[in-house]
Amino acid sequence: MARRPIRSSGQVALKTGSAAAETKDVKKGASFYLEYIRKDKPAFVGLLIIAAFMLFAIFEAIMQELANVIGQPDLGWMLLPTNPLALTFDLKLEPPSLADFPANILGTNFQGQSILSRVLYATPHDAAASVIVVGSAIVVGMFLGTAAGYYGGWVDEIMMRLTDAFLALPALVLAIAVAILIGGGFTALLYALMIIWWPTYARFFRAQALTLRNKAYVEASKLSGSNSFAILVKHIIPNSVDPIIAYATLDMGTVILTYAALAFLGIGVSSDYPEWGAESAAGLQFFPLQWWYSIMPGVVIAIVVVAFTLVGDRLQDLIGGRTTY
Amino acid sequence: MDVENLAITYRTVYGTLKALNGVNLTVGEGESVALVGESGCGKSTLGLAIVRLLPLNASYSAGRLMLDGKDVATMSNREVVRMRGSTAFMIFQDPLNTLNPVKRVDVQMLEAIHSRARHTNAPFSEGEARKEAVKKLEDVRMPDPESIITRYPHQLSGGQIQRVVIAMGLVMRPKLMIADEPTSALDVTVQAQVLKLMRELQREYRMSIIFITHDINVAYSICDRMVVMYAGEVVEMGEAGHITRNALHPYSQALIASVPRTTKDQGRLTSISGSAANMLSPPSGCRFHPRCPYAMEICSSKSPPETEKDGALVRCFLHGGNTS
Amino acid sequence: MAGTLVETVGLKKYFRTGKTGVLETLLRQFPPLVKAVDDVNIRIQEGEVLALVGESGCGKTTLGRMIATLETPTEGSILYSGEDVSKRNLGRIRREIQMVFQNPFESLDPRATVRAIVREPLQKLGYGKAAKDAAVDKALDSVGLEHNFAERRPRDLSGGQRQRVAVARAIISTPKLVILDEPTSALDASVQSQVLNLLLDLRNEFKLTYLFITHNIAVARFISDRTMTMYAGEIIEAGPTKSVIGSPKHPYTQALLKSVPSLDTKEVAPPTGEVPSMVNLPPGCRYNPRCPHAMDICRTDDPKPIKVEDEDVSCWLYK
Repeated sequence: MARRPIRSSGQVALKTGSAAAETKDVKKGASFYLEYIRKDKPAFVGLLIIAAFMLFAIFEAIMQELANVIGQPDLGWMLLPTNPLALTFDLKLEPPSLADFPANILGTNFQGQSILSRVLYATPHDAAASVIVVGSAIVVGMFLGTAAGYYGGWVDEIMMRLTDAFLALPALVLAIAVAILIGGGFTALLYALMIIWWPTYARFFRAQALTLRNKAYVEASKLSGSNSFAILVKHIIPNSVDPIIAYATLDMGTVILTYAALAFLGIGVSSDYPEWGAESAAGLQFFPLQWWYSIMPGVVIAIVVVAFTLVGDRLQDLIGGRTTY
Repeated sequence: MDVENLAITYRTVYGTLKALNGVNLTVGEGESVALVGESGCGKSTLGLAIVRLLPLNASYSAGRLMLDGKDVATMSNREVVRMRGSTAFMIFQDPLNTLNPVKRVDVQMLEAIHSRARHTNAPFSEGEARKEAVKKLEDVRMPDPESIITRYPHQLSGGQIQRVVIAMGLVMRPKLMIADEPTSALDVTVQAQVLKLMRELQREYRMSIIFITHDINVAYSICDRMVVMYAGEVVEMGEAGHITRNALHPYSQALIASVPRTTKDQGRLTSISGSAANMLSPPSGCRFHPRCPYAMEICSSKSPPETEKDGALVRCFLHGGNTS
Repeated sequence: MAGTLVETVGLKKYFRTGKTGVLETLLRQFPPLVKAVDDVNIRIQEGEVLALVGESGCGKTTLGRMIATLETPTEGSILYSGEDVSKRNLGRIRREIQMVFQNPFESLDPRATVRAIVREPLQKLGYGKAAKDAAVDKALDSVGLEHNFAERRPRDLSGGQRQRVAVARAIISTPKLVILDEPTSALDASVQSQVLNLLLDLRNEFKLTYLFITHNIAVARFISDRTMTMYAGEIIEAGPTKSVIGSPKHPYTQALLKSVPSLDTKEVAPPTGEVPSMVNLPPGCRYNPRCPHAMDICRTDDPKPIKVEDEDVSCWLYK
């Protein structure tokens, strides 16, 4: 059956653009993505929230580290409305109010601490978790998946069975088990999440490599004398990354949600660190009378996760790739 | 069909694009007309405009498109639905994307027959419809129609699918068939078979054909009249043999001279200098003037009107319209 | 007398149309066999343009890819200047071969600059950076692109410009053989003529050898010195272009010519029937079900090439 490529002019709606593309320099890259996100108001708001979240997390993390290193604990809450760790029982369980703005907008908990301050205090962990877990998943997935897809054969078989094994086990249960085995605490939880997070990315990169290895420019590269490694680095990997940006953005939101869920169950929580999920769990016993104690951390989690989702969705529209692998 | 001064505009992210600009065209009953031109010239747009299949960002910005006495641009949705299939039907380039891949051929053909029965308020019986479907496949010279009709599209070759699509179209007994590059994705011999078939069907069904193609050889073999388009305008129109032997417009001449021939030795092919017009900001005056070897001063400032010469219609100051 | 650059001996490429895994091997139930290239013996002379003409599925692309060392033959061998391909000399042989692919939108890395694309064949040849840049500029000159194209990316270029970049990449290392797989099929008529003229000029200037794969007989006539027609995996006619296209001997070549719409003939005269399914080939001559001259022997024995005037024709009519 004949299979000649359909001329680009065959598609009417696109044709009108291609004539212009001949002469216009369509910019891609960061500025283009930014412009595209800006055009969609919800996505833009999401981007602002993410930026605020990340920036604040970085500063707060620096302050907390400084506090540890220098030995001056109140550096840790210099940026916060109130001291999130001080026990001020007379302020306990105040409902959200505009008094003492902005300390009380989320209310106070059983120990009189401003829930807002506690939530803000814990942002570095969530921000770090989202970046580290997704980042490591991309790196591990890229190596394993691209190699599997490009080389095929037993390399592929082994990797596929490995990912099958990981995907077959319920992720949360596995994470809990790993976290407990390693010893609990924030870093343990991070390792646990990193261990379970990469298979999806490996599959994704594998699928990309499978498609790209047959592309004409890869064959041209072979004729130009490039060995497999050069082809992987120069051609396959750079062209695999684009569609993943959207998915990774969505995924960062998912990491935060998962992290919060595990913290809610008490995994990875240390007693003096007000993890978002843990705070929500602690507030359960006061529900529904003092509803804000449990609900407010959840609201903050929701806002951050939705922000990631909005931006990720918008990027997805742009790239038009698949969302699940 | 009578197209008068038609203009179609697209709104794109890069700006407004006038895909068609002042197109005049008449197609008579039983006549075969080829729209010839390269990508971006507007030939596909014109085809889609006739059956109101333009994308959402397009609009009929000027002129009229009269099909069987009614203006397509102002038809109601119901009239459009009735028009499509019974007055005019369209076949496209990629055979695989035209048929529904999850339905068998007989199911799809019966759908067409059923739809016609509904529109004409005629009775529909499945047994009769089946016989008619097989008969239509025979009409399109399909070998072994009884077996083909039970297959799925992916089990058929490109040529076979195009025949099925033509057969489905013929079910409605349309007055006009618009074919947008129907053979470009087919092999040479299969293309020849489909072209021969369309010629024969045109005579048998007294059907008008508008054949859209970039290949002037294909156009010549299928049409009575040829319409050469460039950058959204008709630059030359006339009887097929007349144009190929004695093209008047420099673009038509260049198009004919740039195609390799099987029957003669050519040292070099004539090529057209420059590149296709930017439809977002087309050249001033005559749109072809930046690439024209005979361009005069007036060509860059004024757009040449359509003038008649030697039985053909030409849009070129070399052949008239230059009143200075 | 120019030497033989490439010679194929009994070249075959058979594919299975499905997976051949553990299960299939155990049960001895293999998916059907496609004889994409079946016993092809051709010679490409140095300095010539050899056109390989056929319709889709005939095996011409597979044959071209095998000669380009991108596919390994199932049987038979390919000799490059008398040398057979092996793991040791593959790199060296590949340096003498380049390829221009059909789809201009797929043959260039969308993320790379034109400069990076065009200079890739120069790697590991001992060129310094300045020498590479100079070579890139010279290659761009040869294909008629301005030097500032070097910093642009494929997505900013039109189809014709991309093919020019592909051609620049193909000639920059002055290879001995350039294999072109339908290089102009995806281009508009006016661009096609520009690229064809360019290819001819480059061949004359750099003394290149072309294997030009195409379905378009008119293009083959224009550009080639010798032509071979291929049908269902076999070369059925080969000879000087003037003979093969001017006065074709094999009924399929004749049918092909009569099917091409041209400005010289008003009606086309296509052959009947369809190209055979490659998993279910007719016995004897593969063209016999469609051939108006089919004889009894055609239905039982597959003809071997016979010398007819200055051509090699695989047809029992010429016994």
